Amino acid sequence: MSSPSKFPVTLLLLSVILSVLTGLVVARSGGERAAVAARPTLVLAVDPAAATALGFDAAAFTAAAGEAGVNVVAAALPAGDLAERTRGARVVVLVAAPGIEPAVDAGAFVVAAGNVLPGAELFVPAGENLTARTAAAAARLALGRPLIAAGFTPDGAGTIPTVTP
Amino acid sequence: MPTKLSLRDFSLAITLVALCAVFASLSPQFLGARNLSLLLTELSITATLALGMMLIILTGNIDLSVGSGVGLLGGIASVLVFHFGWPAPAALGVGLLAGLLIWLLMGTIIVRERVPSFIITLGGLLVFKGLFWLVIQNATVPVVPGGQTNLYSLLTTYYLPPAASFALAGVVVLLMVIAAVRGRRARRSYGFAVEDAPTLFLRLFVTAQFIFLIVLVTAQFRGIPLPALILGVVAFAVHVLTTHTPFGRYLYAIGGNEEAAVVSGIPVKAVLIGSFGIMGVIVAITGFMQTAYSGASTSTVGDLMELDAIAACVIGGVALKGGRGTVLGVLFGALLMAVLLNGMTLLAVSPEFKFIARGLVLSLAVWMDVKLAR
Amino acid sequence: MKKLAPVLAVVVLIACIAGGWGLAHRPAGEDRRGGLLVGLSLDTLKEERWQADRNNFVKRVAELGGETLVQSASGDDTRQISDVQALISRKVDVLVIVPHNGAAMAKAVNMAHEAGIPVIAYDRLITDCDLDLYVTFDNVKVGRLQAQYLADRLPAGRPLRLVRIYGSKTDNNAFLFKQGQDEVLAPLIKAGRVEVVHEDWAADWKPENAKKITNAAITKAGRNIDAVLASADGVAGGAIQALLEEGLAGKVIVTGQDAELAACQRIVNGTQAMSIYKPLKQLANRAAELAVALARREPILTRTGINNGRTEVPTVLLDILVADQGNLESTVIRDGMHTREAIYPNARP
Repeated sequence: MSSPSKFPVTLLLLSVILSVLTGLVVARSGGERAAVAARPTLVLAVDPAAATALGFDAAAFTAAAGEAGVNVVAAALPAGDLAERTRGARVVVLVAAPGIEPAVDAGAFVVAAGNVLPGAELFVPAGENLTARTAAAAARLALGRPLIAAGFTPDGAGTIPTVTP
Repeated sequence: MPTKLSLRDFSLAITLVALCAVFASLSPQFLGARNLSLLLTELSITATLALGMMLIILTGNIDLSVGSGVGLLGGIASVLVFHFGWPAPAALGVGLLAGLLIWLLMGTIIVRERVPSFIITLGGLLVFKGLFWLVIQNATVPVVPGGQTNLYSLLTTYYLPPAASFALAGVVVLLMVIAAVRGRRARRSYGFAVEDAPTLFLRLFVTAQFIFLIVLVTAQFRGIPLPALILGVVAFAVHVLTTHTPFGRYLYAIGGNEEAAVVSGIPVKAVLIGSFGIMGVIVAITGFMQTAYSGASTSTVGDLMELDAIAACVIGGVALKGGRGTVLGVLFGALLMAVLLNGMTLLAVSPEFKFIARGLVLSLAVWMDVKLAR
Repeated sequence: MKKLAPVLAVVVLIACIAGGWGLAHRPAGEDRRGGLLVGLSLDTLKEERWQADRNNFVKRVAELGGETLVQSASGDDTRQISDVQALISRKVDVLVIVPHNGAAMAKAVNMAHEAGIPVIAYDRLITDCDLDLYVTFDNVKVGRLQAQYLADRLPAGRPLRLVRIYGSKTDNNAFLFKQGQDEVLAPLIKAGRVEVVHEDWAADWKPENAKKITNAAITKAGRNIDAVLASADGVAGGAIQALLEEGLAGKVIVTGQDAELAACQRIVNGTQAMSIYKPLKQLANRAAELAVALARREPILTRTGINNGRTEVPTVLLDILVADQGNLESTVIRDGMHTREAIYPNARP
């Protein structure tokens, strides 16, 4: 060694440190999971007769909710195992004949579309674009976004918050 | 020589590593790709301004008006875009021009009227703040109307995609190697001493490693943030200006001994005014980035930024009396300040302690500077 | 040896990258406790009111099993953006923002949404963005209660001669107060039961401006004024100062808002008739509860929506109360807003 004092020890050390860091970074690439929230799911239970009477279109509902980022699990009414099928669902949309109270899982938030159902947490009144209005409200709730329900509808026992047009 | 670390550099490096270690152990997200990317953006804004400040301090002057200037020039561009519907490039151009002219004017007053820069720029601090509030009418002026994007808003929201980032890094490293080899050959042909091949290789190698490390990290969060590229360009320009041009040598000479500089025929007045002109352009660029980062011109944009810029210079080894300072040092100083602020914000430290910590670090750096300079 | 340096460097590089890889592949320790994390970004903590809000909020979130990260921007919009960035980096489950500047914080809401984090605006609306929820006091009702207080005290057989002092024209809330007052007063004015003898806006809510307005009213309409409908306590204070100098204080009904200490003292000695008490603790608690519900993505329904320029923001309005001589004890004092000793300085035994 001609002049040991000039040997670039510092640079070599720096190179080693940088290499270790590079290794650490390369190893975790892809490790930082992007915050892709799982698509939420809602349950749609439809009584065909009631749906026809109200002009409710289950396929259009599923398409609209899907576009908003929510998966729809469909069930036909009357279904004996509805409580089972709605277990774990955050939002359940019911299109049924007026006044009946299908047994859904206790934890679910029930949206009654078209006809007032006792015990529902939200009511979407019948009328123009019932399908689209219901899909917008239900998808918003399933996504965990607050919803404005300015109206109230009596259901015998009390009142149900109601989506106003 | 960059291969040798002084005691001062060494202790600052240790401080930085220790800071990072503390922050990372208290909150693992400190080293997450998202936070490092944000840190890079914050660093770029502070460091760009600090590099301009270095040019001023090298001559033994100081500029206290840059923080208010950041708000004012960003505000002018915002108002042109939002209230007058100008295209963003034109508005930014006007902002740049305004910065250049205002700072040339300040430089001229300092040189011709022999008013200390400290006083003139202190006046500037207040005048620009007032003008800024007038320009934006004390209201909130977004950098882009209603949720769209334009060149202005993209300044802090555009990321060079990972593939392009790697390509760019490759090109930069290649150019660096070519320049180094050519420079070495030229020096040798003139009979100057050259550094030995292994050292040169290692120096380039470490630099390339560093560049690729940054690209790797940013690739994990959208890519290289645009402010980092802007900082890269500004840092390169200032580096070339200070080390490879007569203008740069004059800056050091004036700061080292102004009388000697005059006697030796250096156009002191023109160089000083020129340095302020460059500062004006850099203030405008920083103003655009800082305003875009805030999303809108509001009455508080730019507050206290002059202190961050001066702190970065001082920590980076720029002598306040002038005549000493390097780009690399300033970048390091800015990094230390940015890490400190970013880490404390991440830990949700209350504002009182943020101020105290930043003040202490600055004071310690100056104290160390004075002590080691003796 | 020196010639070997490049070779050495490359070897070391490979070894180190491998080493780093190995280090990183240990199971990564997650920075998350089981509970949820709420980010609270405050405009400032320099005022007592916000310190109390912070404490109540943090306490309520803890009771509900969450943890709160609190940032304070000291009234600096850029800092508040950085604060929100940091909270997003910390991966909070929900963000609660008290904006220093409601327009500037739209960017913060967009950044949070990009990271999939819902945002609640607390006390002040964030405009021009897709805000998730807004929690505030019912400002229209403030005006309604102030006017109703007068409507319940109309003189018999003649119209109530009224001076109206609104707030700062640059404050959107001032318009909401006026809107509520108008709802109650408009029919009475139409029926000839109320006569507005003078009305004006007190710039910047300044008491001295309110005093000037009241003086102008007395000059214009004479001393036979029945009531001053002042939108807030500060303005009421200015009006009462003018009335004092005129020897009318205590004979004229003066309304207010905020139940400030000075106003409570004026209520005790009869120069101000009422104020509006806003239970700040309830606001903090309600915001904390909603934040936790939102973080858990529970369905939330609100009664009202407020337009923020971009969308109808679901809004939770907290109720407010009239505070007058009859109920200071059961409202302001019981909730610990002011102490009894402070309100009744001369009542010491």
